Amino acid sequence: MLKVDAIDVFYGDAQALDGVSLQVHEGEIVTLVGSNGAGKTTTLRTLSGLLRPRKGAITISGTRLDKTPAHKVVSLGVAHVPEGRCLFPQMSVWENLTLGAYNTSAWNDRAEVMERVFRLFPVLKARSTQLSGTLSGGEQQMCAIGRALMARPKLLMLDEPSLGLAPNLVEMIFQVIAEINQSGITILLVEQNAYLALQMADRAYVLENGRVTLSGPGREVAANENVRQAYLGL
Amino acid sequence: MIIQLIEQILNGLVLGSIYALVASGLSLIWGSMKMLNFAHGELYMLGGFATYYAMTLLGLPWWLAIPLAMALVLLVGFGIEKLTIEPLLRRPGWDYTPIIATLGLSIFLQNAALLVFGERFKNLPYFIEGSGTYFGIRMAYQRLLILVVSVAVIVLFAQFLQRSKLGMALRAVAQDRDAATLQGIDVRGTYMWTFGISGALAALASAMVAPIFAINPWMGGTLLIKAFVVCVVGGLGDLRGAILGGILLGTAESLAVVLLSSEWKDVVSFAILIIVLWVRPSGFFGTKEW
Repeated sequence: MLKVDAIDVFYGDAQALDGVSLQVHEGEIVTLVGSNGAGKTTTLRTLSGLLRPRKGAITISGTRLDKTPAHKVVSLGVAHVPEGRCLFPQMSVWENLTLGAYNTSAWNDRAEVMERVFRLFPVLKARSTQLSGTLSGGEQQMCAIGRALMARPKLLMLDEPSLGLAPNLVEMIFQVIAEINQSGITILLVEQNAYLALQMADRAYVLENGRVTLSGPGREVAANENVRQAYLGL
Repeated sequence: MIIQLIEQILNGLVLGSIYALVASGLSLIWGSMKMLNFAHGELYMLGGFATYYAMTLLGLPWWLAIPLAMALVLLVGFGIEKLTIEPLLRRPGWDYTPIIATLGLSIFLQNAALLVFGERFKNLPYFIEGSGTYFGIRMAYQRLLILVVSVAVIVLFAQFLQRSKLGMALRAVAQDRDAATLQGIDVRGTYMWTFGISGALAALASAMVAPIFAINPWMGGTLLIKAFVVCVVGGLGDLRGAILGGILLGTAESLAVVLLSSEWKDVVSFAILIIVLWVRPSGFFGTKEW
């Protein structure tokens, strides 16, 4: 459904991505692993339209994503949970979730969609009137995922959902991601916790210095000697 | 003396509500775009002239002339954002140029108004003649009208920001532009609304005081400085700050008139500014986002 074809992305004169190509098929969990600065976040931000590739093409179900204005990407079914959550801190959980449905066909059904988000994350219902800036880290991550789900996406992109969370919460978030995937939403996951990510992913891409150096089924990538040394610490 | 003081405090509230209307627009622009609009005073001025001509040339009653003037200035605000601010924002690295552009626009609009409308001061009659006496306190109906309308519009504006879809989008952009874009909010589009709405609020303020102060091409300049003081005192980018700062400044100026003399009015407001900058530089409400 998503096809990234040899994109080059620059910050000013500094090249961040160099001919990155990847594909995500419907229903899959695909993960991007790599060290800090390898270009994982840059890839997701380019897919969302926040950054533009200088070369290459991005298509989703036949539509050119890299020619779509950034604010229209979400209405094509691509939702992005950014690194560090990026909630609206002075707004309530309810408002954050509501804004998730802002520019999509989900706007008219937002009450119903929100009920589904609350079933996934009951704690958000209890906190719905609280300002999102006052939530705990785990609750903020849930709120950020919930906000993305409010758009009823086909493809959910998650950037470091486990960042800064306690181990039991990390496990819980990964369980929820698996659940979301089972409900029919395709997942593109960026993670530093390569061990967990490779375990659950159908396929994986390894990014190094802005290039894809390895790709394949999650377990195969996890078994690769270089990956084991560099990212899994084995 | 007590009666006179209370009357002056009420007058201060009237003036303060006008300051609050003008300052909340400035604050809205700062909140969502992180820029100052030096042409805000000229939008205020245009609102005054629009009301004047709607009443004198078109013969409209005030309650039709004011909404018309607000709508007109809303469109002028859209145009200014689209034609002068947006092209500059598109250029990477030109982050501060829009502010300078508004300064130029301010000078341009003042001189254009001078050319088109002339330098003669224009006056409108009171919208409602007469005055009432309540518990021994006299108050002109015009001032009462200003107070009621301003408070009503500020409450409506706060509700609009709080509850409407567009209002939520404006607040979201103020708090995190990228995250707002990811939710499907057209950030550039909200900038246009920001300029338009803030202009309409200034136009309302200008129309309401037109019968008290004269309409002229320079009327925006002094008011803009006061509005900046209000914003700094209340905390830039915070609506509550703009309201509270406006009321404080209006009341302080009115009291200065009766306790000292009218020449001391501006001294008092700038003294307040200096004291606030000294003891609490971020204003009453800090620089929190909306």
